[in-house]
Amino acid sequence: MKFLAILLAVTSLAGCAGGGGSSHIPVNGGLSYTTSTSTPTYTASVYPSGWTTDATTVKAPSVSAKITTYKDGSSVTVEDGLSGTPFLQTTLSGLSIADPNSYVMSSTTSYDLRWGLPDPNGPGFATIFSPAKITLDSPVFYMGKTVTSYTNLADGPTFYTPTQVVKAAWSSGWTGKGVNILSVDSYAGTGMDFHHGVTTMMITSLVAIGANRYGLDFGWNSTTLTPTGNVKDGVSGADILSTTHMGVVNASIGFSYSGSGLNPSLSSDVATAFDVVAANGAGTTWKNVFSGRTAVSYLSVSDAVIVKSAGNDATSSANEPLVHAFATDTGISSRLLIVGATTSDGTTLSKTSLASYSNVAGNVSNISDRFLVANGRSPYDTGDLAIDGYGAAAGSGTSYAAPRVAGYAALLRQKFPNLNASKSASILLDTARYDTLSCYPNCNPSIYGRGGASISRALAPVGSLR
Amino acid sequence: MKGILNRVAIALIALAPILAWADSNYRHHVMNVSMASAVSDLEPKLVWPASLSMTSDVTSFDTAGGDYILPSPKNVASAYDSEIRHDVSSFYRTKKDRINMILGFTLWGPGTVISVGYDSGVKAEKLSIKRALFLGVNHTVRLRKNTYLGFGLGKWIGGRISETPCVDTYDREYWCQNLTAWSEYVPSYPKVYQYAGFRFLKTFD
Repeated sequence: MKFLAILLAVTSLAGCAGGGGSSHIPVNGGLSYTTSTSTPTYTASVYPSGWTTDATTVKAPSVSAKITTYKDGSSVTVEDGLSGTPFLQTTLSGLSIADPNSYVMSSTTSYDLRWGLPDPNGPGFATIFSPAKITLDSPVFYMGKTVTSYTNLADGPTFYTPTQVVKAAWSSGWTGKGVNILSVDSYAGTGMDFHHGVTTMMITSLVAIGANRYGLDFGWNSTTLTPTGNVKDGVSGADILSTTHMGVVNASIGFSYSGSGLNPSLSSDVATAFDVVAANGAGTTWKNVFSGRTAVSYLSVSDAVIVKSAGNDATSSANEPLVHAFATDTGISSRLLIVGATTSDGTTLSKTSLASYSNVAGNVSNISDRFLVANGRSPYDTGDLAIDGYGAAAGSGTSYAAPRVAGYAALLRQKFPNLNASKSASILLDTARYDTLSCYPNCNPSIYGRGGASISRALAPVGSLR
Repeated sequence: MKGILNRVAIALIALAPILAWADSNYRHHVMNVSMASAVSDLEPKLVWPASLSMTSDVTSFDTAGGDYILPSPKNVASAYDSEIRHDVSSFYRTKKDRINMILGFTLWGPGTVISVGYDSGVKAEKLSIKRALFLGVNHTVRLRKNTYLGFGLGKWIGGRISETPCVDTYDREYWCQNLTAWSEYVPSYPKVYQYAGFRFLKTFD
């Protein structure tokens, strides 16, 4: 009987499973480190290769600027700061820095970012942006204004880093790429005049870093609040010469009682404020612009989410004439978001509350139903940056809360381009939350309206699935 | 007597993988049958179900060739906000039992096995796998005394996989598996199973 004996070779062209996810390469060769909340001890082995250490100091190798390209193709440059500047071991310990592969603090207190291999979906935000701020390696431009370091005009400015949920959106490729945001604000004059406009635009772009920015100047302290000049490119400040369809409009403009010597708690003064705005035509002007009834050269806002600051007079938003004008205009109201200010970014673990100056939602349903709250702080501290050489002072206001929501709207519209402006606004309203607010679980809708704007909730499915 | 033993051996080899999924091991199996038939120089005149499975409620989806495609998830958390969860199990519930079968034919002389298979596919609300047909042939030739060379070819034809998105209240489309935006989803399915191979065999008296 013959029997089977030697099997010499088998080859095949069998089909195989495709794709299968990506692998992550350990940063810097998989160096390990120990996390501690007290006094972490770092040894030379935890530093990237090329670093030198002695008993007390650590010197970084020469590192060039790092450009990180996100999943959707947009990119951001973070710098190496003071490359090669030694820092103290005790600095790391004092700051409880858990991962010195990703960043360190230099001996001159400037953050000195270090990084490993880039994540294909974006940087490892949890480590790279763990410090409260990042410093850019070179100036950036808003409406033709040059934003630099305050201390060295050749360097870039320092910003607070975005919230974790924004970073998470970025790492998923949600940067607002391709969405056009128009910031209607003040860009003329000097000092605070253009700081206001640049700051609001800066906030939108720090939330939606991939969005295209545009500006329209209404002129600081203008009595008419009407547009000055044409729509401009938000980077160069040059007039745009072709019609641009805006996905989002941020309007951090409005009537100030405190600036006019009027008292919003007096009905007669409220009536006066409405008369002032009506007399100079501002309400009608902007209603007609935002509703599309008045054509503005090279501008289309007929399907834009309109984000309006609530005002800083600690009164009902219904007392702010432009809020009232927009909320009662059928061409705008379904796309309108009215934004009050909180004192910080709220989370479920670190709740926030309404800023004392912020207007509240009030009891007028067509306003309170479209009212959200967001962080009203500027994204920098005094001394962090200069605009065209003028040091910019940090500040707070609903003017700075509104552009955060405008940035959220841009993120939303990027990935769901089938949504019109009305639906986009409704999603942000329907997904707002109270559980990040200190009032929770007894939040008053006449104060907080629909609650804190939440980009993570807005990106997730709403309602039942089918 | 020897002939009977050989026929029994071949039959046992042929029936060994019955009830097994028609995966890539199938090609080894039919090659064994082909070679056993050729070495014994017998025509076993067999038609046998070389592979047979019938599945109803599944926990995962596979191609007709047995390659894993996707799970059949139940509760899914949004990739953007883990507190947002949805029960998507109904979207992946299959409407009919799935039948997957390959018949082996050794009817055309020693060393030749013809394989014909059928997969009924799957139809769920958010995922479907079309019906597929398997065709294969294995043949073993004797090169010289005690030396054989076997060839085999096989391929599933059809079995196209398609998915549809979950849609929320605002008509936004999501991939049901992890609730990321449908526009972000790039399907990556296993290729249609096919094989071509050969095997060299030497026997000893």
